[in-house]
Amino acid sequence: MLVKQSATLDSSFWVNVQRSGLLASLLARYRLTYPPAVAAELSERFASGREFWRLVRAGELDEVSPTRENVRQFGPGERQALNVALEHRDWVLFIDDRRPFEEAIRLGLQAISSPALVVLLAREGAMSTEEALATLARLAALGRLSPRLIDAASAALQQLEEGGS
Amino acid sequence: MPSKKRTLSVRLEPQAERRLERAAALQKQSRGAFLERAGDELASRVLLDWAVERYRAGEQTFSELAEETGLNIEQIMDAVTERDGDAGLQMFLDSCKAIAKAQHDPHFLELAEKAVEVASKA
Repeated sequence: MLVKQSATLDSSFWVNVQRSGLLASLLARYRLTYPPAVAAELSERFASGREFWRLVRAGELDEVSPTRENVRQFGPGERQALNVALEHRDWVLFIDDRRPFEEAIRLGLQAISSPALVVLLAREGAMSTEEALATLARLAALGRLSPRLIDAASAALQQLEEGGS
Repeated sequence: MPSKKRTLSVRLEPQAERRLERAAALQKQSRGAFLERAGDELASRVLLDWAVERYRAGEQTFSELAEETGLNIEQIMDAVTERDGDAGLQMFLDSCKAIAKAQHDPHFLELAEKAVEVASKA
């Protein structure tokens, strides 16, 4: 049985993953937690927020609050996600916005963006190259992820495909 | 429970007042309720446009913009997609073309083109 790795996330990552169809793969591999400020940013008036609250009510997601506020910059959701990850350094931090992502790397956290998650899942055989490219295309179609991240993920997928063929 | 609403007074020219009167009646609303809705809708549009530009310029994150504008984070993200989604998909395809060419991997390009076709229809 696969032991799920613990992770926390920020709101924009959640929305990108839900909209690109990655959520089932994410939930299969990770025990997801969320800080209260992320929950406050996700409203049931919108599709990804509705899915978030449905999973919270189903007990699939656990709330974890940071006890200290070491990081004081960025928006409330990103700030709390970074602070939770700082207190649980063995957890993965899923984050898509560029500046907090760079700060997470600077702090030595295990930060993963949604395009990188696609490559990781493809490498592990959880999705084929075809499925991974389709997911990357859906992420690109959202128009809000750095083209550099998408390019790097595409190149990595090509390498994987070459290695597998 | 007492209402949290604040009162604002608005001065209108007679012509504008007549238009407001008529439009509110057509919507079966009081003038106050009509102005409340119209003002909030316009304020949201202005803030949404501003937030999209700030995000595009890389100056603020979605979380920061949601906090500053009072708009929902998903609402701002959707507005970015509405404006930049097609360009993002085209850049993805161009990038895959370049990778396929550099690596002499036409199959990769076929897969990417198929992925883009499906994503553009979604």
